[in-house]
Amino acid sequence: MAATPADASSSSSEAVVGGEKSNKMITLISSDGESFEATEEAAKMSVTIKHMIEDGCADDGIPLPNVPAKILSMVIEYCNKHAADADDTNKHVADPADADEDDDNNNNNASAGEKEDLKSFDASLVAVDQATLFDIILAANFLSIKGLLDLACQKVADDIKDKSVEEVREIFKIENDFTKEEEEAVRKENAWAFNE
Amino acid sequence: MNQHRRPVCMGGPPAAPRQEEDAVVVTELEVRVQLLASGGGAYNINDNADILSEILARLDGRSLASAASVCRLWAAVSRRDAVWEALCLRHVGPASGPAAGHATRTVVAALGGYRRLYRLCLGPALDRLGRAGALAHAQARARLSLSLSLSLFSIDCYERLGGGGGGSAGAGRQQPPSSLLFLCKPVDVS
Repeated sequence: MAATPADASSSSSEAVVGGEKSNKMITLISSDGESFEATEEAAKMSVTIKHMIEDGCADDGIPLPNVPAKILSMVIEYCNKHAADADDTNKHVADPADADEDDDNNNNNASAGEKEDLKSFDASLVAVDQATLFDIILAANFLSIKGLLDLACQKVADDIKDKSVEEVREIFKIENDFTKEEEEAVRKENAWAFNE
Repeated sequence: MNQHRRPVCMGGPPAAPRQEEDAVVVTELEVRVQLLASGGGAYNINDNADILSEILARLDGRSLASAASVCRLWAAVSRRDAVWEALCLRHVGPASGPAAGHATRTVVAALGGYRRLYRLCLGPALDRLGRAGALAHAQARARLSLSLSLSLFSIDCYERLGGGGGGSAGAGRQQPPSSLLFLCKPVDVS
């Protein structure tokens, strides 16, 4: 099998050598009854779903009563993108024999470009309003998708960072339920972080 | 469990090493129970303390310390040592293997916890590195050594044991400042 640069750059999530990957499609059903299809590989990015598949509960579709359709479609998009990325990484690692030097360079350039792509995809996925972002966090938490949970929580953390306490309360609609004494005590407890 | 708003510390002699932690007594469990009562509407960041803790665990040290002042739940969650552990481990060289993580946690807990470790060792060191611009250059090289941090941390622990060990009733309020505070100031070694 000749490995040409053309072959290397046309990477996609087609079934490849090393037949563990099936192209089986999994049906996921949102809380409002909409059905979505995802490859088994992408679906397994969710540890929750992975266990259900392995336990044989996935044949008639997997109902996800906690995840509305709008969020589920975003989650599936994330899984598709990142499963493909993981796939490419594995492919490059798995076929050292096929790669000659030209291939390597092409592959590396493609990887760097893909990494940038992935980063900007991730950034745009979480550039949403607060309610949607929290829905994503809840879904990622429920479905045990570590990468997505990381991504979304980091986004919220970045929104909190460097904001004053009042600003944070306003952004997240949090009531200040401290008594005067408590507030002072907490302030003192944490004063060490603000002494230059 | 009818404990509503109890604004003051419990009385009685504080145990010497835990003085600073006694300040606010409303526990996280109490706050979560109170919050469960108020319901409805879109998801609020305070609806789930574990998710809040995931979020706060991704802040830097200063933001985390200031987050404690937002409300009682944030104060309680930011007091969780796991949150400070996540912060510390982001900056400290990797422990070898998952078993080492547990062993490290035991040692750090015995010495006073990750929040204290951050406050006394990692925070000041990171600040100094940040000011020197070192962090900008070599991310990898600037990862602090875990064993060095733990060594400094244990020095502090022994100091506290030595200073507070003598007096029991009412003593210990005037503890000498930790010698590790030297990390906060530039040291002239010429």
